[in-house]
Amino acid sequence: MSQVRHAATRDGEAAGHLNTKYWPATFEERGVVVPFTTPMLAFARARSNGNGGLEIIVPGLSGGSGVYIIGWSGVREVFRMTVHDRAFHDIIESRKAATPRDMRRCAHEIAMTGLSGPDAIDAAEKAIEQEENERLLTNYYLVNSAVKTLAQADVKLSVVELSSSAGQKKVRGIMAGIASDLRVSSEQLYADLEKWSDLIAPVGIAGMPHECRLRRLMTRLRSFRMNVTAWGKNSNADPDGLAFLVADVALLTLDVGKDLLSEIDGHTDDLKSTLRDWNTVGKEIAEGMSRLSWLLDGWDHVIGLWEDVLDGILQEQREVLEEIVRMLPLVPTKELDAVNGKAWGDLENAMRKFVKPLQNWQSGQTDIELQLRIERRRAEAMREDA
Amino acid sequence: MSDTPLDNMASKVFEIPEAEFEKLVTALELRRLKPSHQAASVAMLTQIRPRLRLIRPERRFTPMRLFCRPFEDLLYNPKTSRKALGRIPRTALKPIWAEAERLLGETGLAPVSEALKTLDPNDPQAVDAVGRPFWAACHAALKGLRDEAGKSKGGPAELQQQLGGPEILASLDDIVTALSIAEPMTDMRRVLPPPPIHKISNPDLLHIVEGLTRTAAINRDGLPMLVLTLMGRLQSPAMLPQLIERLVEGGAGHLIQSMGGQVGEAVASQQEDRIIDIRADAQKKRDNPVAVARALGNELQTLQREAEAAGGGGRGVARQIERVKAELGRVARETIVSGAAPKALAALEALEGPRASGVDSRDQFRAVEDQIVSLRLCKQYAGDVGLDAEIDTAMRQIGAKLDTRSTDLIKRLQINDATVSSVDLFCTVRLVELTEGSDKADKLREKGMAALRGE
Repeated sequence: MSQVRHAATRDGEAAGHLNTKYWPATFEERGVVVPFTTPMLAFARARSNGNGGLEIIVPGLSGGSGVYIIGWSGVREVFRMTVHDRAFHDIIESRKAATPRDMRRCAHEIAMTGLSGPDAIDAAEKAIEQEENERLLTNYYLVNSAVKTLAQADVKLSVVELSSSAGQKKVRGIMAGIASDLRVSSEQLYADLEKWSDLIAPVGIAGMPHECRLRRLMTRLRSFRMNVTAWGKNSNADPDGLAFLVADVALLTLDVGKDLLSEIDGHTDDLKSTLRDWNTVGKEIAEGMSRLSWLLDGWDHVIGLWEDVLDGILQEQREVLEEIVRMLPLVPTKELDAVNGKAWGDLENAMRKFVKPLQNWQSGQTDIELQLRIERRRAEAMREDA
Repeated sequence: MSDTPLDNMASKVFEIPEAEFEKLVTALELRRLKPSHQAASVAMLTQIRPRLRLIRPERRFTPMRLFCRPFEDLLYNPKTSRKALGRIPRTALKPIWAEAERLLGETGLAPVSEALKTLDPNDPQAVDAVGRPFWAACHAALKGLRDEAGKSKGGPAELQQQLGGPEILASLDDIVTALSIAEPMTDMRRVLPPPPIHKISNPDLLHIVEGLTRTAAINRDGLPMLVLTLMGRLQSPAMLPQLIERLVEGGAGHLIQSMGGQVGEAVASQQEDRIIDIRADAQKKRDNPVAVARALGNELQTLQREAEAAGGGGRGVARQIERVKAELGRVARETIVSGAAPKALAALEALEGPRASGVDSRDQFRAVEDQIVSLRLCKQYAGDVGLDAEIDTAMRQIGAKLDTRSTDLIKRLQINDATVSSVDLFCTVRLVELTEGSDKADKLREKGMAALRGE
């Protein structure tokens, strides 16, 4: 099924190979989206090469459909990168960032330098601030929930109360009672709640008045699926049914995501067992959160691309849809087994048919409009997180 | 922050499942038919417009919407009060429909209002069947209004004042003509592919010839309008010349000839009209050179697409395209290129001087970046509009200033000058990259990093 072809560096040495296999088996094989700003690398993903290093996957380069896999150090040889991306490339390598969480941190750090402009600094600052707010908010709701559910007496806590020393003393008393019931120390209970809220901060707690980042992304993905389906039905510009293909992949992602989210939320509904068995349940929550962040990795860029052309002309929307198909974050086959092994056998063939290769990738010319659009989208994705 | 129930509804509108959304739109459109519910329904439809634009469920017909159906392809939204030949500004609809409504009266409108209650908006044949007697009635009423005004010396001026301006009076003429040929026009449209039409097949061509013949039999003055309606449905207006050639070959030569140069004049007028908006927009966005540069680039791309769609399109189209390009070049020069270098240099100077209170250095960098980016964007089409040399000169001037700034910055970083920071370095690297490319900029970054490390 897979075919190998070599890509040359500017010095003529082989730097990577072409793989025509589209459908990854695991998230790790799919790789994590690297928010590069160099147009040719805009859809690239990074993953571990299995030898302690990293490699990069670039879809649809000239010469064929499929993905190019290039060793991390070869990337700078093959592509003329923006300065932002050169610095980003360095930092990813030094941190060995190969998960969505690590990549996000590196992206914020590099955006804060100003190498992709003042707007990127603003967006990164806002995103970091929001991340911290969501962590604190989740912790507040989790503690509140523990107090409400597990305390012997009926207690209600307000934010004002929690911030006063008398209120904190009262909470400490209540928590000590809960800890004693659970047969752990108060310190341990606090530490576990803290770890728990750190873990689930990207989704928060169901029913919180504020939707946290990944839960918000699920909501956006639902709207995106509806919009793209409606566009496919009404636009008269999609004879190949690209919109339906994209909508189907979004639906599959939503199905898997919904199950993961309800598992994560389920632990909050059963606070007592979760806290009592934290050593094992905490690992399950961490695993669920990791899978959810992998599952949704890349969708914010897809949605951003689409939102960019909502007001555009049909042809532009059609072109963006082709771009989206090229970068579509497919749910790995192993995750599909987990949802009753749905029959998605023809998906890979459909992808192969529709993915069009990028042209002139070695011309070395940077399309400024394209670069700015990518930078804007990256900043908007960070702002959207906030 | 949105706090009204309507705003809340608007923010939730994308979450409503599609089937429910269509039901909601249908219900609102039905309520709009009742005068007592009209205002509230219109307000709600306005709030859900963002999704309507995306999903476009087949909206119910109101009498006004049905009235517009024959000439809907000619409608456009100029940004000032004016009218291009062969186009009808949307602002003209309300006053003209008000006149039609007044002249028809409740009795005249009753049959159509009744028919609309059960009309399936997805059945174009049924819609046109309901429309035919209604369009004929509207035509008679509005033609009567116009003819009556024409009888007295001051009549047209009075009617113009009554309607609200010369562009509305001229639109009335077009609407009267369009309504007179509503039947062949809507019949032809129904059998042709939906817009945007990428290609006219031979059977399509026959339908068009039939439409022209039927139109000529009813009202020869309506021929250009039929052709312009067709143009509005083509993927690109530049496909028109080739289509006309094929119509001549297909036996409609005498009909085409009888239009004289009217279609050509209309196309030229529409081109002029477009430039008026581009110029006005550029003036309005003077403080945002990036937006202007981008808008001009988009216009050029559209022109390019039109030229490609026309497959050459003959000398006439080529001349038109060249003329619009030249005009776009003039707008770019006046609003962006001529002022970019002085503005960028002044902003760079300001970065070096003491900062005024309340001025953020990011905003200062943004100001320089905007000028450079707008030049780079213009550079993409500079060859087409003759701006190459001017842009190169401006970029060289900015580059030279950045060289001086970079050298100074490195020196200050080496001596640990507390008034410069890594943000100053990286933002300067960014400006160098935008002006002279990533290789030179990366060298500056490396030098700066070494200076920061004290090497």
